[in-house]
Amino acid sequence: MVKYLGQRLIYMFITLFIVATVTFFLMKLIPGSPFNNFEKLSEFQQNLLLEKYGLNDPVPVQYFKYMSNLVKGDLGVSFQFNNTPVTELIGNRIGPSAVLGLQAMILGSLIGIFLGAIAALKQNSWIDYTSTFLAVVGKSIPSFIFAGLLQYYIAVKLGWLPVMLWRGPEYTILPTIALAMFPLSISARFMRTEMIEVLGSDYITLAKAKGASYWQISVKHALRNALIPVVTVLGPLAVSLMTGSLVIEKIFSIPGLGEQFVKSIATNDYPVIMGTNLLFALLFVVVILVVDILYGIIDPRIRITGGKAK
Amino acid sequence: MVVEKVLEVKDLYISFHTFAGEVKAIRGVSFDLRKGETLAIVGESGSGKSVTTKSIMRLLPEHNSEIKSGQILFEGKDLTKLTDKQMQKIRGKDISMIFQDPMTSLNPTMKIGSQIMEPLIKHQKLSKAAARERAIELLKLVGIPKPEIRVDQYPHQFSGGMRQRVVIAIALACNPKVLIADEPTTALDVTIQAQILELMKDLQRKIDTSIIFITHDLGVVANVADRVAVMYGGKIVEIGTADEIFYNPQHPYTWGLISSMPDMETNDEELYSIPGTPPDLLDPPKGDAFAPRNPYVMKIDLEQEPPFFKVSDTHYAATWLLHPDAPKVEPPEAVKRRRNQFVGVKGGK
Repeated sequence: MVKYLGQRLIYMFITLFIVATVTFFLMKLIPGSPFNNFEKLSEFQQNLLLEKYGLNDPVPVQYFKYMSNLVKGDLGVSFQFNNTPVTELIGNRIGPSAVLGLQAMILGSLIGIFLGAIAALKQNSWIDYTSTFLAVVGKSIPSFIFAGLLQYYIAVKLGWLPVMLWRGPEYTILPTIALAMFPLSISARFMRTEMIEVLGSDYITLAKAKGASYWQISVKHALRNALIPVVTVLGPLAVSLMTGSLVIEKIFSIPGLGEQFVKSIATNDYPVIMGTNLLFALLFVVVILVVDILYGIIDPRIRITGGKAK
Repeated sequence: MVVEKVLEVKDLYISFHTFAGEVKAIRGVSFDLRKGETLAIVGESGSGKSVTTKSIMRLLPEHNSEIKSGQILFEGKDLTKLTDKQMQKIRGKDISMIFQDPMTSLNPTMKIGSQIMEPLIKHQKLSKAAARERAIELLKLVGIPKPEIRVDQYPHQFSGGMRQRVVIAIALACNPKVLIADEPTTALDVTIQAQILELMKDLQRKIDTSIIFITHDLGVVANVADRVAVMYGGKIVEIGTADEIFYNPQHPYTWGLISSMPDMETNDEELYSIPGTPPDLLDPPKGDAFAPRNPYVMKIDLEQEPPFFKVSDTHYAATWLLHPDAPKVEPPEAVKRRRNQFVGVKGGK
C-alpha cells in the first residue's frame, strides 16, 4: 500500500509538471499584455512595468524562472490586485467555492443515488418516472436559469432565504441547490442504469433463492455493486464543482475562485492564471487518487493488497 | 411400499407475456419428487426445464410471468398461493437451488463466509459467531481446503469449481428437503464436473435430501439420476426410472436424444442429430409438439395431443406410437443396441 501510494505520488508530480508547462505556453499565446491600458498608462510606463515583471525576457527564460520559483513554493504576485501574492489571493477565495462545491456535491450525489436506486427498484412505476423526469430536467436546464427561478420564487416571492451574497449558512442554501442539480441528475441516471443491471444478475437471484428479503437484497447485495461505476463519474465532477461554478458564483455574488479565474484570464494576469490552474490540476489528481482508494474499499477485486496475499 | 412424496407438481401452466404475445412456456406439467431420490429433468434449450424449477422457487420475473393454473404442493402447502413473505421462509431453508454459472452467481463484493452465513442467520437464527463456525464446517464439507482462511476471502479468489462448491455449501446450509440443481456442471470443465457430481451424490446421502437435477447432458443424467423426466415444448413427454429411459425409451424424442449421444459402440459414423427446430411456444402446435421433427410421425400426431400411455408402473410416455392401434415401428439402431444390452444385463427381464 505504501509503495503504491509512493508510486502514485510520483505520477501526480509528473502530471502537475506537465500541466504547468502546457498552461504556461498556452497562456503566452493569449494576445495582449497585463498592462495594455492606453488610457491610463503611456507606452514608456507600460514598458517599465513589463521590464519590472520580467515580461520582456524571451518566453523560455520566463518559463524557467517561473518553474524554479514554483519549486520553491512561490506562485508570484498578481498584476491586477496590487501585487498581492497569488497564494494569498487563492487562499481568500477558495473558502466559499469549496464550501459551496462540497455541499452541492454531497447533497446532489446522495439524493441522486437514492433516487436512482429507488427508481431501479420500482422500475416503471410512478416513482421511476418522477425520478427520471427530475434527472432529465436537472441535466437539461442550465444552472443559471434554475438559479434565477430559485431566487425569484424562494427568495423574492416567498422571502424565505436571502437572494444573494455570502454572509452565513443561510446564504449558502440557494446556490447549493442550484449547483446540486447537475450532480444529482448525473448520479440518479447512472445509479438507475447500474442498479437495474445488478438486480438482473445471477447473484441477486441466488440471494433471493437464499430467502433474503427485498430489503436485504436491495441494500446488502445490489447497492454496493451498483455504486462502483457511479463513483467513477462523481470524482471528477466533485473537482469541477469545488473549484467553483463561475455562473452560480456570479449570480449569487459569491466571492469564489471561479469569478477570479475568469477575471484573471480577461486581464492577462499570468501568475493568477497559473496558480488557479495548478490548484485545479492538483485537486483533480488528488480526487482521482481518492476515487481509486474508494474503489478498493467498495470493490474487493481491485483492492490494493500489495504483498499481503495469503 | 408407500413412497413419501416431498414435492408434487400438478398440471402446471406457465405463460410469459411478451411484446409479441403470450408465450406458453409450460403447458401442463405434472411430476412428483420422492424422498431421497434424484429426479433428472432433461430436454433441449427452451423446453421449459428451468422455468418449471424456477416456478417451484417462485423465482420467475414477476412483471411478465404468470402461473396460469396448476399446483405446486410442498408439505401440503400450495407454493403458488403463498405470499412473498411466506415464500422467503421456504427459500434457502426447505428448498434451495444451485445455479448454472458459478462465475456470476456469487456476490463479488461480499466475503464467501458472509454469503454462506446469510441463510443460517435468517432461517436458523444463529448468532454471527455460530453461523461463522457453521460456514467453516460447510466449506470443509464441500471439500474446500483451509476453510478458516477461505471463509474471509472474496469470490474472485476462488476458481470456478471452488465457487460452485461454495454455491453448493450455501444451498445446503440449512439442510434443505429439496435441492434444485439447474445445470450445475454445465459451466465447468469435465474433470471438475465429475468432482462436483461426486460431491453432490455424497452430500445427498449425508443430509438425506431430494434433488431435482436439470441438465441437457445425458451423460450426467446416467451418472446421478434415479428417475428421469424428458421435457419437450413445455411438456413432459416421457418419465421413468433412469434404466427405463436409457434402455427402454418409448418416445421418439427420447430416441432422438439417445441416438445423439455417443457411446462405446459409436464408430466413425456421423453422430445423429434431431432435425428441425423446437416449436414456437408463442403459437404452440395443435397436436404433438414434436410431430414436425418426428421421423415416425402419424396423421393423428398433427391433430391431437397424445395422452400418457403406461409402459410400466414407473414408466409413462406421451406418444401415439404406444396406442394399441398404432403400427409397430423399429426404434433407431442406437436405441436397439442399448435395449439389447439392458436385456443382457438384467437377464431378460
